Amino acid sequence: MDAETIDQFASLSGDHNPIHVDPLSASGYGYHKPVAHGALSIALLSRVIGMELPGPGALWLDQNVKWESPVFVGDRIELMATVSDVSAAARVLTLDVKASNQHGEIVMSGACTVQVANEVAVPKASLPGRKLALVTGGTRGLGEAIVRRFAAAGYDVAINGHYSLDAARTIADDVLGAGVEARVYPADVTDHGAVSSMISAVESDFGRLDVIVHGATPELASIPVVEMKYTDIEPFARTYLGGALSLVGCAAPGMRERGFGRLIFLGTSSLFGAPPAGFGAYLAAKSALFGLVKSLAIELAPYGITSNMVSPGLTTTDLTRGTSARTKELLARTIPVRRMTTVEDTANLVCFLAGDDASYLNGVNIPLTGGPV
Amino acid sequence: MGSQRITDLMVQVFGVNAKDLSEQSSPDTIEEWDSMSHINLILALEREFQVKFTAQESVEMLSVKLVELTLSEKGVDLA
Amino acid sequence: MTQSFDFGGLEATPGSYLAAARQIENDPSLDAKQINVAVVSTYTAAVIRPYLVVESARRDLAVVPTFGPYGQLEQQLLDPDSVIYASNPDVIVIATRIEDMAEDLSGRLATLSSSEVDEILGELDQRFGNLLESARKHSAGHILVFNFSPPRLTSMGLAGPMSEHPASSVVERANSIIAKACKNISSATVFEYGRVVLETGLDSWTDARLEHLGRIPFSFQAQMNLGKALSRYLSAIFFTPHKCLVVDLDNTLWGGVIGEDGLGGIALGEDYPGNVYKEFQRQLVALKDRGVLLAINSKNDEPDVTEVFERHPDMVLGLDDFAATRINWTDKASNIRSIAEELNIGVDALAFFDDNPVEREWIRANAPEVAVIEVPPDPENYAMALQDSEVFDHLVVVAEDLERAGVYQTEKRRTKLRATHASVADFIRDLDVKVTIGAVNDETMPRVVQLISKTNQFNLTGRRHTAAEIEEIVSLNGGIALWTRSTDRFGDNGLVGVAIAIPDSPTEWRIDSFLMSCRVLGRGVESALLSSLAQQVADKDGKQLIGEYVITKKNGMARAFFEGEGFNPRDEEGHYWEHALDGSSLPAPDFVTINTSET
Repeated sequence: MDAETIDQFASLSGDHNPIHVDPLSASGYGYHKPVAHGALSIALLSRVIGMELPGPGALWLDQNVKWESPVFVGDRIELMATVSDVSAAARVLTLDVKASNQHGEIVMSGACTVQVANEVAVPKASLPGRKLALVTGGTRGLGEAIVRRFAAAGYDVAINGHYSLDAARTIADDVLGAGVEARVYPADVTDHGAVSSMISAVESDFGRLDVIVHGATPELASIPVVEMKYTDIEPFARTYLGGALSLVGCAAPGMRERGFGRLIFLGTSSLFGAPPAGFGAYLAAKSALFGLVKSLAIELAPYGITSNMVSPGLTTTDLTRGTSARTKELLARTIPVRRMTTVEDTANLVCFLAGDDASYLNGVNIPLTGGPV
Repeated sequence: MGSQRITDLMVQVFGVNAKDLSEQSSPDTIEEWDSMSHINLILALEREFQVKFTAQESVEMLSVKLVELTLSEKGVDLA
Repeated sequence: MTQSFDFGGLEATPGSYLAAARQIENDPSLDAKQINVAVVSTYTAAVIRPYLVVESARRDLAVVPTFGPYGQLEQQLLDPDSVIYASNPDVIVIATRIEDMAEDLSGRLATLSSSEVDEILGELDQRFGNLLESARKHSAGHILVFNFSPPRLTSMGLAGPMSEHPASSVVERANSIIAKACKNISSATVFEYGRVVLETGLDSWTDARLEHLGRIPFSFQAQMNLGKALSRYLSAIFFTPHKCLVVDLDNTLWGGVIGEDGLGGIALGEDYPGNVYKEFQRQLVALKDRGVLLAINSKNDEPDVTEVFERHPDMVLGLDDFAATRINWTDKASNIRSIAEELNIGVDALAFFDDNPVEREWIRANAPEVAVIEVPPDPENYAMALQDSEVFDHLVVVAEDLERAGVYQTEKRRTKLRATHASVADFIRDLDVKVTIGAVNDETMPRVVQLISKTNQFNLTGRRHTAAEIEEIVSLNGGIALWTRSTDRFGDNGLVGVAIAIPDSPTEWRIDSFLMSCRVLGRGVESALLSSLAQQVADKDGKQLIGEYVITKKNGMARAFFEGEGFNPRDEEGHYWEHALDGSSLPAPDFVTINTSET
C-alpha cells in the first residue's frame, strides 16, 4: 500500500479526502501516517476472486466486510480467502475473507459470495494440415461422389470398398491428379478384424483420421413386411450397425486423443414421413442406425467428436429402369425445388458437416429432399 | 424450347409471348396458366396433335416439359 | 368501315378462338353494337367466353360478358347488388341442366312415382318462376333461359320409353315449364340448348373428363357450337330480321335453264336431281308460312316462266306465293331496288338467293344493303344454307315487348358498304374474264353442234347446223367457224359460244350463226367473239360484215345485239345489219383477255 498506489486510487475514484493523501491532515485526525482507502483492501479481494479463487468466470455476488484497523501508507497487506461453503447446484461459493498487515494485525475481515459461471468452451478447431476422410462404400455411386467432393475440398481420402476395387483405383487415380492423397483400403465392414486392420493402416499411412463417412450398403431388395424374417434384417444390421460400431470402436480413441472427429452416417429420407412399401428390413436397420448416431453424439461429443446422419431423398438413379421420363418428371414436380436429389447434393452436405463450420451440429438427422421433408 | 408447335399453341391459348416460355414453364411461373386456361390447353393440344388425354393425364400435365413428355409417350412426333 | 378482325382466318380450334377473342376484346370493331351479357349457371359456363365473343363479333355484336360465380342462381338473381346486376346487363342468360336443377329426374327416375315426378316438376316451375321474376324485377335486360337436353346417362336404361314416365317426356314437360315461365315475363325467351345438343350429337357433346375436372359439362365442339348458337340468338334480339327473300329461278327453284331446256328439260320431280329442288321449294313455302315475303328476280322471258308455274306438275310454289316478281333482262340490282319499293320495305330488309356467283357479287357491289346468302355449289345443300344464313332469325316476342319494356329500339344492322364499282366495266374488269377462241375442228365439233342445237335465247339466227354442214361451210364455202371458251374469277364456264361467217361475195361476209350461253352474257364475251370473227374476216380480205337476225320464239333478247355492237341497220325490221371492216372498228373490249387457240 505505497503512496503511489494510494494517489492512483484517489485519482481513479475522485476520493481526495486529505486523510488519504496528506500526512498533516492525517495527523490532524490522529493518524501518524495517511490512511489508505478502505476500498483498496476490497480491490485486493477483487483480485483474489477474479484471478485466483475461483478465478476467471467468477461473478462476485456480494460481500460483507469490516475494516478492523486502518491501513497506513507503506503497510504490507496479505489477504486470505477461504471457501467456507459451496452450493453446487447454484454454482455459488462462500468465501471467508481475512486481511492482515505486516504486524499480523487483522485489518479487514468478512465474507463474500461468488458465482462461478459456466465455462464457455471454445469450439475445438481441427488440427492443422490436410485432413483425412475415410469413406466406406466409396467405390461407386454416392460414395464415389463423396470421395470426389472431399478431394475437391482439399482432403486426403481413404477409399474403402468391398467390391468394385478397380473402380476404386480409378477414382483414386483421378483424385491424385487433383493434388491430394488418395488410397484404396479394401475391407468388408461387417468384418471387425478387417475394419480394425484398416483403421490401423489408415492412421499409420496418414498420421490422422479426421472424418469417417459410413455409407456402405448391401443391395436393396423389396420384401413384403408380412413375409419378412429377422434374418432379412441381419445383412442390413451387420453393415450399418456392425460396421458403424467397428469403425467407431477402432477410430474413436485416436480421434479423442487428437481432440477432433467427424462421424457421418448415411440414412434415407424414408425415415421421415411415409416410406415406400416393401423395404421394412432396410428401414429397420437404418432407423436403428440413427439411434446409434444419437448415442454416439451424446457420448463422444465431449471429446470433440460429432456424430450426424444425412438422409437424402429419391435420386433418379434410385428409380427402377422402367420408369418413364414422364413419371420421373412428375416426381420431380412434387418436390418444391422441382428436381430430384443428386449424389452431389448429398456429397456437398456431408462435406459441410465434416468442416469446422458444422462443429455445433451433433446427433441430428438432416433430411435432404428439396422440400420440407 | 423444344417444340415450336407447342410454343405457338401456348401463345394462342395463354396470350403470352413466346419468349416467356421455357421447358420449365408451369402454372407457378405463368400467371395466365390457371385452371380454366389449363382446360383450354388440354382441348387445344388434343385438337392440334389428334390425341386424347385421360383425366389423370390432364391433371398431371402441369409443365411444358410434362406436356412434351406426355405427347411423346403417345407417339406424337414433336418435330 | 372495316371489320377489325379477319374471320376468314379463324380455325375451328380452341387456340384460334382464344387468340381471336383476346384480340377482339382488346380492340372491338367500331361498327359492332356493344352489349353486356351476364350469365348465371349451375356449371362453369365461363369456358364458352371466347366462342361467344368471337361469334358475336362476327355478327356485329361486341359482347362484354360477365359470368356469375359457379352454382349461384338465387344468390345472383335475388340480390339486387349481385355481380350480375352490377354489370348492367342488356341480356341475362340463365344456363342450367336438368342434372343440376332436378337431379332425381335424371338420375333416379326409375324410383319415382308419377306424383313424385309431378311434385319435382312443380318445384321446378316455382323455381324458374322466382328466378325470372327476380331477374325482371332488378333488370330491364332481355332474359335468355337455356332449356334442357335429355341427359347423357339414362337411369332407366333400355326400358325407359315403355315406363310410366320416360325420361324424354319428363324432359319435355320440364321444357314446357321453362317456356311457360318465359311467356309470363316480358322479354324472356327460351334458348333452345336441347336443340344445339341434338344438332351436335349427344356423344360429341359430352366430355366426362371435363365435367369432372372443371364442372364443364361439354366438349370443345359443344363449346364452339354453343357460342355460335347463343350469338345467333343475341343477333336476333338486337337486329331486325330480314323480311323478304328474293330468289332466282333457273338452277335455284329447278335444275336447268327454262329458256334453254324447256318445260320437259328442267329438273323438278320426285327423282334425283329434281327432288332436291322440290325440297327447296317446300322450304320456301315454310318460310312464307312463317311470315317471310318471297320475290322472284330472274333473267328470263316471262312467258317461259309463267309456263313452268302454270303447267309443271311438280311445282310446289305458285306465282301467287310471290309478293313481287321481276322477270326480265335488267340487271338484278336495279330489280331488287324496284322490288323493295314495290313492297314498301327497305332494301336492307331483303335477302338474296341466287346460284350464280357473278350475280351474287353484282348485288354485293351494287346493292350492298341486301343480305346475300352464300349459296353452296351443290343444290342438295340449299335448304341448310338458307337455314344457316340466319337472315330470318327472329324471336317471336321481340318487337312488341321491347316497346313495352320501353328500353330498346331494334336497330337495323349497320350497312356494310363496299366500294361501289364506278361502272359496269369496272365490275366486269374485276371479274377477270378470260376468253379463248379457236377454229372449230374435229375435237371441238361435238360440243359446238350440241351448243348450236341447245341454245335458244342468245341465238341470232336459230340455224341448227349439223357437223357435216359446218364442215361444208368451212371447206367448200371457205367460211369461218369459231368456238369460244370463257373463264372468270368464279371458275371455268367451258365452251360457251359459236360464231359462223360465210362469204357471200369476196368482200361481203354474212354472219350465218352467232350464239352464246346465257350464263356468260353481259361480260364482254359476246363482244370479244364478234371482234375476233370480224378480225378473221378482215384477214381474209372481207370488207363488209353483215349481221343477220332471224326472229324465233325464244331469241327476243338478242334483238338489239348488233345495234349495241355498232352495226347499222340495213332494213326497218332489224333483219340485216352491216359494219365496214377497216381495221379500227370492232375492237375487243379491253377488260377481256383473248387467247387464240392453236387447235
